[in-house]
Amino acid sequence: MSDAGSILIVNNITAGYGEGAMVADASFTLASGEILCLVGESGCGKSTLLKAVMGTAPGLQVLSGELVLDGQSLLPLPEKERRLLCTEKIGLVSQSPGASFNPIRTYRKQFIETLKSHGKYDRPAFETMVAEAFGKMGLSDTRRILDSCPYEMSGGMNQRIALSLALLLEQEILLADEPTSALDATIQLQVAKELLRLRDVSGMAQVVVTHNLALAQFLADRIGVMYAGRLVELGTPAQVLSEPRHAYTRALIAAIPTLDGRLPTGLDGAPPLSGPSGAGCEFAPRCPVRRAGCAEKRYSLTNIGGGHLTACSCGSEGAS
Amino acid sequence: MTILEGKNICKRYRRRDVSVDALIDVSFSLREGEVLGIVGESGSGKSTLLRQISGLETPDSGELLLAGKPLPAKRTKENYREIQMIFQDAVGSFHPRRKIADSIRETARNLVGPGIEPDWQTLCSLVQLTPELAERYPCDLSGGQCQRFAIARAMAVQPRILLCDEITSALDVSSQAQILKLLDSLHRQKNMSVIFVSHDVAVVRSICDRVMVMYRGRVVEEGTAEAVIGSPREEYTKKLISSVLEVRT
Repeated sequence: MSDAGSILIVNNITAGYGEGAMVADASFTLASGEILCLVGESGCGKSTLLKAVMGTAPGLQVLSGELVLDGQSLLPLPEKERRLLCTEKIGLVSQSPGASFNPIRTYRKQFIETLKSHGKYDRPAFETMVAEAFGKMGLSDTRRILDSCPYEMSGGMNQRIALSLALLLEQEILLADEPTSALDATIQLQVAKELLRLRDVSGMAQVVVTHNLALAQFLADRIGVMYAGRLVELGTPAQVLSEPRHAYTRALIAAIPTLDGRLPTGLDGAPPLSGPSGAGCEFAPRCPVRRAGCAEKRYSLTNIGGGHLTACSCGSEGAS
Repeated sequence: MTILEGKNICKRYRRRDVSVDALIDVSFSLREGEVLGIVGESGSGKSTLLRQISGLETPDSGELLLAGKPLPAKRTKENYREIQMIFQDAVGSFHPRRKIADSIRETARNLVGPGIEPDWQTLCSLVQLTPELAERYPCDLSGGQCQRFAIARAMAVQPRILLCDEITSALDVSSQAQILKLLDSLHRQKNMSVIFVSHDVAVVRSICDRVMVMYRGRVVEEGTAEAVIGSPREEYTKKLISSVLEVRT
């Protein structure tokens, strides 16, 4: 994992609303064309980390750390300049794709508006360009879609149209916040395949936030597990899911229902909603293999070989 | 013993000149103390069926029998008490400007009798929460906590049947596992009869005794959870199961 060739470098980012940090010391790099999935329970700071990178959430402030987008350090830039640079290079897809469009304006109007604001609107070529992007995302019937409104479309269709727009804007990074969790299983699989297709046709790097570990395994080149605002484990899907080292990762895996009909064991309690406390290991109160002193000791991500990083290796001992 | 039976239920939605057959000749039975799962894609009629059973809507034709007696088109309070429904949007199912406890009290007083005070200790320990949390507003609780209180509200009127409509779909994996464990223990402790609707085949497999697969308003396959999900016969069921993403470890 070298920093050279990385389209995005997130270095020790601490961010939050007001004084309290919701994300602490988060670091990762994203290579061009790479898909990184951030997983964890609700309230673990996954979306906040995405928003901190994008820098457009009202009230959210990056308190310390460094963000480098395509070689350009973002945080020293004036806000307006940073926003321009981010919206030019980074696309955002939210959980409810319907919500990122105005439900009662035609896609045509909204596409034109968005392309214009990015300086990419070419009137004579518009429909051809859209048809090409739609084609790549498996949509046909361009004119009919353009003249419909988002409220007329299903969630899956809307999500595909949103992805086509990202393709048209030729952005380099896509940040997707729970892109499939509002959809049912068959459509979910379809959207997941489309995210892969988007990467294959455009080389767009992606950070996908999800609480669905199976989806992360399907999509990701690397998976980052977050707990209480901190990254606790990071590695390839094989490393994180087949040889999880952190007790939290192991507990998350055990909570997934499987087709063999066992009741998932689950994980009692909930993550602290106040974010990282700064004292010791945040997971200690819920950790099945905690040791004396864990609540006071600060664990930081350490490379245990092959790019597999973990804050703690107790999970693997607990399993044996 | 069969506690709930549906015979040839049909429901058609009309709007201007468009009509959709949401339920076509659906028959089913629920035994006492059984968890019946209904799976299918969005639009297959799962939730529509629950809405007919709960009395939120009336079927166009067909019959619903509760313990052998037909459920009237115009339900009585007793009917509403006996069949309780829990929804996907737990936070939204509570009044946003009332404390959780007040919402639960209101349901109990409406359906059981005026002046009734729920037994908070028992109710809260049933859903593994503290009575103090019930004094909060819905927005001050997590989705998982709200869903437990929604279960508590249903249990407060001592129903005979629980209808669960995608109750874990909006929750993360750990809250989902907690709700599944809770429902499983309710089912075992209280011999509760449950209809559990979900698009997640793995979730249904983990908690249900029997499974019904719906497609475009019809029941296409039915049997024990093990048989339907373990060795499906219908093409549609096979497709549904093959689209389940499983974590391979």
